[in-house]
Amino acid sequence: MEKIFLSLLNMSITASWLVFAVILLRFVLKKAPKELRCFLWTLVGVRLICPFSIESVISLIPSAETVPESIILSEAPAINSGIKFINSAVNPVISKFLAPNAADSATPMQIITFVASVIWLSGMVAMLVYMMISYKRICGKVRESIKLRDNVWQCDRISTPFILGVIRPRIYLPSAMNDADIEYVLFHEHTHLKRCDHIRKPLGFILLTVYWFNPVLWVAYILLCRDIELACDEKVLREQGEDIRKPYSDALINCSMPRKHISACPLAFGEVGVKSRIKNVLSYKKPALWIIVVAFVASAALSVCLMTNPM
Amino acid sequence: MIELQMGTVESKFADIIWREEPLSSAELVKKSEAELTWKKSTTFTVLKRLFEKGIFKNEKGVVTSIISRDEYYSMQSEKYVAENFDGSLPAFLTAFTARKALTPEEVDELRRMIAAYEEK
Repeated sequence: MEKIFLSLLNMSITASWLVFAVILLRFVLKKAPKELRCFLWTLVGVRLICPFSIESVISLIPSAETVPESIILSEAPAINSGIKFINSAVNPVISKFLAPNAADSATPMQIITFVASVIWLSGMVAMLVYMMISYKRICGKVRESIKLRDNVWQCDRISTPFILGVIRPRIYLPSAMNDADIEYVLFHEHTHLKRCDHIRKPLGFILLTVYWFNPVLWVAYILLCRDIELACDEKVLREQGEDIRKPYSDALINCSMPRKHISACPLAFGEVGVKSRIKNVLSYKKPALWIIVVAFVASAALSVCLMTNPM
Repeated sequence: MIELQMGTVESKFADIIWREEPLSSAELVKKSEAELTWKKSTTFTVLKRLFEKGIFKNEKGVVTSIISRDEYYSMQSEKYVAENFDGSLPAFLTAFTARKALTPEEVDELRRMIAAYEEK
């Protein structure tokens, strides 16, 4: 268990470097299509799922194994963060205070790693339990729904439209919605289904349950949710024509709700960052070719430099 | 008066009962499954809520209505006019006919209604 925890810890630190770069790139390339951001988050996901990576000289990752496995039994425990000043700040301290005593049956690092692993596992179980409980609660509410058409259902007991289900996803609409808004909401939700967001978002949350101890990844998940919605809005505008901007943003306002908590399962229409979505919809323009080219080159560079490990 | 307004979904379910009553709860479950694809537990959950609202009742396994469909929708329209037009029926009709004029048939029917009302 400790070995698994240590490799997950290292993978999450490596991924965090990538997340910082993605956040920076997102900011610099604000005008680029939001689809780019979703691609970048996919890269983060790959880094978190795949324990292996190619090594290359142009890798910008400081270190692929910040907490080496040997630390547990080492006589002079030390981390290898790849950044000199972190190493020199941390290592003297831990080498001194956490050095093993010949007389003890277990090294301090063994105890610490064991305790940390237990805490990690409990946290992960707690997150999974929370996920299952919220899922069951929503399922209970939407049992009382009637079919509108195809896979679209109406329910009295929900307050915002959302998608539920991975294999046979259904779109649920609150019964109290304006008929005018329904058309636009359905454009949006069907686009989510086309983009497979109903698989991506829960997958992202499952990664979060494993890596819950890393706050940088929580930030990544929150930004991922927002970027998924923005990219979906843009795709709707591209496919339906920019003229629907006004009624589409009206529908967004009518369906918006105060944010309650980070929800794992449903892709809710109105919950995520409504203000920035409306701004994005109303000011959307087809991006110029040069922006697309720059974005493509930048992400290719980022992929090579941060998806590979240092030699 | 207790809040007995039903949502769209509850109303569709209530329509089944109003249409088929009196019927046993078992029959209701079958009909809900056929028309709404609801499981037995869902039917019972919603039914219980409607019992609590005082619209329907259960006597020895047979479901009947306390408030009829007409009565329910009368109460709803009273409530609507009270909440949105200060209880003034003329104000409601003015708003109702503002965008679309009454047809001659509708005018005749309204005249007959008023005449019948005045005779009482």
